[in-house]
Amino acid sequence: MAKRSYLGEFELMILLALIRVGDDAYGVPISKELLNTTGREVALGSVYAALGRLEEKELVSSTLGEPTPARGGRAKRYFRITQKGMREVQTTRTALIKLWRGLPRLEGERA
Amino acid sequence: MNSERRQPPALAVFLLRHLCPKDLQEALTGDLFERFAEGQSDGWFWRQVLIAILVGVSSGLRLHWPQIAFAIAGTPLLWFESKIMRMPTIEGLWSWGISLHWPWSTAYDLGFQAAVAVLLVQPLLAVLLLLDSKFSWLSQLRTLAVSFPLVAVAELIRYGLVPPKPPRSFLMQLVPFFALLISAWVGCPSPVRLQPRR
Repeated sequence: MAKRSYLGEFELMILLALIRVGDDAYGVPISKELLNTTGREVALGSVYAALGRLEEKELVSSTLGEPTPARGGRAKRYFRITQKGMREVQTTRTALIKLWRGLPRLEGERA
Repeated sequence: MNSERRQPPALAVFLLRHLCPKDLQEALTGDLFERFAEGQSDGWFWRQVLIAILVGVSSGLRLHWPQIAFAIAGTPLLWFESKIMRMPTIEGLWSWGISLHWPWSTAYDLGFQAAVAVLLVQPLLAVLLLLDSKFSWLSQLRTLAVSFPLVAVAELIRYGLVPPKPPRSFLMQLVPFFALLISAWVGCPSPVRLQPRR
């Protein structure tokens, strides 16, 4: 049987934030997107560590931008989800929806 | 416009530059500077730096676990070296060499014991690398080549420079530990992390 590794919760959240941010996805907007959507402030070091793991798995790719004075002369590192990453997100989504179905207590959740 | 831009804590920047993984340094430092310029506090900057260092250490451990496990498990394994040295065939080979004239006898003794020690622990590294799917004969040979002189020096320190009678201190046990750690670290480099395209 082929070995398959599943996305962890945090990795999935990072990939979804990456898709939501789009072309301008580097550390700052990704962490802000996570803060806005989940209410959790995530350390930038953790974001980069997760992005590094995702890049090792070829689920994201990165490019360096130009250095800017506002960043102390450091370049931005832009991330993009790969085709493989997109497939992985869709597979996880399908699995989660299947698991979610048939749980009426959670489906009918009221505020 | 305010011409005096607020600077993040210098010590935190220094730690970030020296303790953070090199491949993340530029982008991460730039992001932290950017957020700081947006109005984040010194405390926020410090927290981010400390977390980045911890995350870097934990990812280093994750990448190098076979090397670390090799040094931890290999050090007590070296205690069995004296038992192996007492095996008749091994003892025969050893006693042939030490009957040579000085300094050849000393060099032979040291080299022989180091070779036995290195060959004793090397299979452990092979098993650990196989478990991590990173086994290669080249890493094995490289580790062997680095560990031989390092273990010989460790043996010299442990048996030559320390009084022959115990107590052998905990610090003395750290000598072979670091010899094994350094040789595995140098011999089995971790996979090169992907670099972003420019």
